[in-house]
Amino acid sequence: MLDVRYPIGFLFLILGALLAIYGYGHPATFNTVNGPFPLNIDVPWGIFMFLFGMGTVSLAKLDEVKNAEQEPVPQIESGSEAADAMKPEAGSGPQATEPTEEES
Amino acid sequence: MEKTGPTTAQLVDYLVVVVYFVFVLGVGFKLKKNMHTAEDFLLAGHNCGQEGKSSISIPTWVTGLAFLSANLGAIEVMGMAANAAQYGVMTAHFYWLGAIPAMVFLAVFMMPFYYKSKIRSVPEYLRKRFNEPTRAFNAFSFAIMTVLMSGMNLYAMAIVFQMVLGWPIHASIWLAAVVVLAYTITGGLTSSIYNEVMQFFLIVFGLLPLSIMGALRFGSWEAITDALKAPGMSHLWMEVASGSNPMGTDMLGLVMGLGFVLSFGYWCTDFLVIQRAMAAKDLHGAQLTPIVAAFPKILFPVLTVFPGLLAIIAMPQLGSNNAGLSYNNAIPYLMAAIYPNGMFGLGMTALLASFMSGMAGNVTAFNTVWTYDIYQTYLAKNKSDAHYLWVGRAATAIGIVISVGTAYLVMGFPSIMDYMQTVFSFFNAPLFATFLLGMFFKRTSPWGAFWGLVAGTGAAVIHYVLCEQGKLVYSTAMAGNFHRSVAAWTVCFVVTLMISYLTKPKDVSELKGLVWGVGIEDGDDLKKPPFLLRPGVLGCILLLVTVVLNLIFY
Repeated sequence: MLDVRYPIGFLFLILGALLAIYGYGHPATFNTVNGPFPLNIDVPWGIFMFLFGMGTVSLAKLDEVKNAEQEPVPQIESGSEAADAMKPEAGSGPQATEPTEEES
Repeated sequence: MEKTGPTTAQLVDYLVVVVYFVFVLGVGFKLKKNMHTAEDFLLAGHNCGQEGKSSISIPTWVTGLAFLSANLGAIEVMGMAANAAQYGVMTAHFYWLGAIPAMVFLAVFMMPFYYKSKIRSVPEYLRKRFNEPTRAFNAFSFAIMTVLMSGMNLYAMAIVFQMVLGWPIHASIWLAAVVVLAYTITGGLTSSIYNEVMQFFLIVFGLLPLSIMGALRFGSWEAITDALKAPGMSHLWMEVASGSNPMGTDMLGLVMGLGFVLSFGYWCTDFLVIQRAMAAKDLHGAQLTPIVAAFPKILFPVLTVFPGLLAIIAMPQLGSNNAGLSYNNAIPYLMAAIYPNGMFGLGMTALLASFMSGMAGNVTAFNTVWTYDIYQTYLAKNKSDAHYLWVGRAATAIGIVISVGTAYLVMGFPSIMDYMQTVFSFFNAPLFATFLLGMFFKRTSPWGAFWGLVAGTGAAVIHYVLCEQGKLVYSTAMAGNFHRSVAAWTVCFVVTLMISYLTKPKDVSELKGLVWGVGIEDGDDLKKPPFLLRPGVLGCILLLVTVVLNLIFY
């Protein structure tokens, strides 16, 4: 099933980049107790969001690789029923055995 | 360029909203292929997962954040900020006196009963523990409550968009309804949970800079408290004993009403939040779900109460009779005053996310209770799973349409927070007494529970009518809500006990796994988690931090 870290990560990658680029092109100031500070908050916050998105996607990818490494490779004996079932036939592929989106 | 006036929406702000919508809908459609059965759709595979049929297995951190986000609707973001602008730091009592102890209690004491009894909804627990009428009463009242709450989120969203983006209120209501419909009808509870997690991060990223920039503008906490008009606005407990605090409540109303009845009633019995914890992969995950949620929750006043305080300093005219200057508008006004374009779009998207997550939470709880506790029980028994899956989807659509109707109903109320607490005092306050007696006192009889619940709800209605007629007077609407919940809880508790001693209780053999001390350990086949990951240990840490925060902001 979909790892929720992917949509979260990609959402913040896109929003972070959007904010950082827009803020870089539109200088602004914000008020502090010591007077106006010449920084558009879009830039640092956009970069922070971008890094967060990158970290989230990386963690999801790392777990995916780890899980793939831990999964045992099925040992299929030649001539067995399972091995026969995996042989491709004309007009049929792996997708033919999987339920379509409409079916599910 | 120096900021001179309130920010108005530009192309980049709309772009942020569009990107968010694309992701929300994308998640719903991506998860559609995992929805094979009605339980996949309505319960995120919780029950069938135990039998190994479901492909859905949701990690604890996801259910934990969804548990938190389902509550992050209009009440949390707009309502708490509005409350802070009106009542000051005392609003943090909703977190540090109410929510955190209640979440710990749920995790340690109540979740084992919910999870192990393999129920699909809170009303179903009431049927197993008591009888069919008690379940029916709760199922119908809960269904009404969810659509009332869901409509409130729609309305809150519409007023923000009308005020800040200039969108017509009717169009905003329908647009939001269509988006929530699209992702809940495709991916069901799982989609709702996934989006709630995404929305959690969006809410944090969208609101946190508001507090940071506000703090930088004032320089120190002392400067902020100096700027507040009354000393009680910056303290939690200082003026409670005298009763002359901004919230206008006394110790009984605050501790018993908010700290015990309303908070425990909401967090421990509201199926909307319990449903998220029950989607966890095992009992330990279900117990840790409220704990995982409580850690960020403890810090949430930084995102909600603090901006509310800043808003009332920046705009002292908030709360005047002018409708546009309602306390409800504290956060949107502050965003327009502080954020530049870009961040403004992100802040608006965070608000939008919070309303959608609050609405989707209510809708997914509504479709489960409707399908299992009303439709399957009373209207169409023994139908196929595909039939109930279809009914679940239809209930989602109908629930959203009704929510649009209730959104228009909410327009007639002056404050969403007062409206919310009124609803809770009717439904959750008496229910908590029923659960407390049901789970921890085996002598509680089925008819005792039923009549106690009816009497408690009736007491809340009578209290409300007396307040409306001016026969009961409180200095604020919130103080009235606290006392109403105490009255409803007490009447339910006393009537349940009295009738329980007059009627026949259930045999102990029927209460196995449903009542504290009756066979709950028998089914506990899980190995004990490491010491620091035990719900009780983490709960103690949370309570300790809460006590420290109460002392700091005394």
